[in-house]
Amino acid sequence: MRNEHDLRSALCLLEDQTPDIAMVLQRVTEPMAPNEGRSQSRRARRPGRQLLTGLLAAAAVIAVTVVALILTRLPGTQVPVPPSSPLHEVPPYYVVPGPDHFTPLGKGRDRVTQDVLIKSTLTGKTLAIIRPPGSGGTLGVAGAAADDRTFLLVATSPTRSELYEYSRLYVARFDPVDRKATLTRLNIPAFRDGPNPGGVAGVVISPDGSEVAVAFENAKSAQIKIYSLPNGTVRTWKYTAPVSYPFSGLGGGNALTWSRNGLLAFDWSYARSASPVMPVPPQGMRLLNTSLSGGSLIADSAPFCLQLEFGGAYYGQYLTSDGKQVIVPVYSPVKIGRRPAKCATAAAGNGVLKSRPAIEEFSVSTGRATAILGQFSWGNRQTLLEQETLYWSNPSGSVLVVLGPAGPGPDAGQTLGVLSHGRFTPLPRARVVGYTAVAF
Amino acid sequence: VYKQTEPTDGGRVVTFEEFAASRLPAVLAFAGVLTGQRATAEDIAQEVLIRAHAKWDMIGGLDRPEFYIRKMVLNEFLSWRRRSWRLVHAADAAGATRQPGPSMPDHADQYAERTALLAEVGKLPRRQRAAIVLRYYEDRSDTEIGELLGCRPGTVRAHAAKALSTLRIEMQPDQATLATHREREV
Repeated sequence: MRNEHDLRSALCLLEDQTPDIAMVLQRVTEPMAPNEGRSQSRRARRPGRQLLTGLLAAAAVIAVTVVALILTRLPGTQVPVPPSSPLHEVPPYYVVPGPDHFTPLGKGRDRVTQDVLIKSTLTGKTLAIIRPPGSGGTLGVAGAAADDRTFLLVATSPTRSELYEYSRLYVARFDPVDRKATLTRLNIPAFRDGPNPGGVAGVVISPDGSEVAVAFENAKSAQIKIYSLPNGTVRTWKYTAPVSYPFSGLGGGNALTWSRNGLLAFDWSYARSASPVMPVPPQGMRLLNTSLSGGSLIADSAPFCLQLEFGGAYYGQYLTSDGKQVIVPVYSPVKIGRRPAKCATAAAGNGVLKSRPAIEEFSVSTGRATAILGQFSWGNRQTLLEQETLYWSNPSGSVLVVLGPAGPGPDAGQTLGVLSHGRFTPLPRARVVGYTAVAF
Repeated sequence: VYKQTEPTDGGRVVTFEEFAASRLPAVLAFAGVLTGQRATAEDIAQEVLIRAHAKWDMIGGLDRPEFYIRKMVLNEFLSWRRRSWRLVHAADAAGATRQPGPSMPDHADQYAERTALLAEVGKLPRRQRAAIVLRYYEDRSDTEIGELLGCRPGTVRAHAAKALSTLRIEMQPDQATLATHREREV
């Protein structure tokens, strides 16, 4: 039996998770990127300067508007993206969460609503705004199909419960001619989202947009369900042996990915690790054969070992749509032609890095490293690698959309950009703070 | 409610900069322990401070701005959504590999026990988790915790009791008495 002292000591260990004050304050006081909201709340208002600031702002807006009008009316004066730009090699539209809208409810509480924006990859302009269905709630980004204009969104409705909320999946289809998006609720039961681990761990839409896979887990079982959108049929793969939240590595930048040849890649944290209830980092990836009718999550999937040096220190694996490569940001690149270390251990690393992190490609068929696709030269890369998330890849893995440096210095921040032939090209007006749920 | 018991700053309005210099580190540590994940704590702190910064004229005039900010942090934590859908860091899993290792001064088995305990703490319903963090990390009374969570001290005790039972933590009789006694003093 444990005692109070054990609890106090354990909680003190969590002081290690204290955020860096400088980083938090920098984010609070720095100017917002153009695509972010709450710009008015970012800076403290100084009453003495309000009038002058207002006049200056009005003058600036008028000037910018006039210049913009002149430019758009002169043929050929719009800043063109060169045909050779790698921006042409990625999907023309992407979805990103819009700014939060806060409605004060009193007693220090707010109601939050959030839209999703459809943006142009080439210009960074917002082409359409998708509002949450019904009366309020938030809309989040869950994925995109390969047709460039079908997106999977999740709508979360406000509930009376402070602990749980219910989410439903929607498909948004964008019409670039009318610049309108049609939101359709999927015939998939609402799922409960809340603080207890378990529930939905990941969602992905198939490349052809006809199916949606949802990964569920709890303390007793894990399963992946594939819902057919046209006819509503469901196929299920389950794993019921004792396991501790094996999908815990999913979420954030670590998504389910689905190739055109029917392989569904998912993170599978090592079961029965030394500390059975400790959340372990992703210990390996498995590739599920979704052409089958359902069955065992393990028997119908094959492991793809990505256990790298320092205890599986990778994040955000991506199975290319041709199903032939897996691309991952790695702390310590594996020598080309070599396989990563054995993946049957659960040892955590000590975080000491000896080499430059990279985005690396591995062959699905051989498991060997086939290419280092990019290595960014930031000052302190060790602290930034985890944000180097992959969002999209072309079928062969030669063109990627990743989160990369917005400028030369380590303080420049991050932006979405295209990584192609070892070169990073930022997307226009796509700076982000932290990980952002974006889908291409 | 924010003007009752906490030591005041002499009635002077505390500037945001003063608050950041003197009180923010403790609030951030609280957010880190509460969430157990630096990235989430950072996001929550950022959300809270952006809003607090915008209305600092009001908050800075309170007798207990730190208490108010903690309450905002708690509310944000209690309503924080699953990370898949929102603006979050991708650092959570990578961060897990950088937990302090067995080279800590503790014995390895003690460390393993504490990390296992922490994992169980992470699975508690958020209100229960908040209650035990406030009680056992911040050493706050049940009355104060009730004030922060917006419930009665009896409800706080119920949350804490459920959490302790889930975590299989035995309260020594003298500690239970002490807790009750502390309540009476408040």
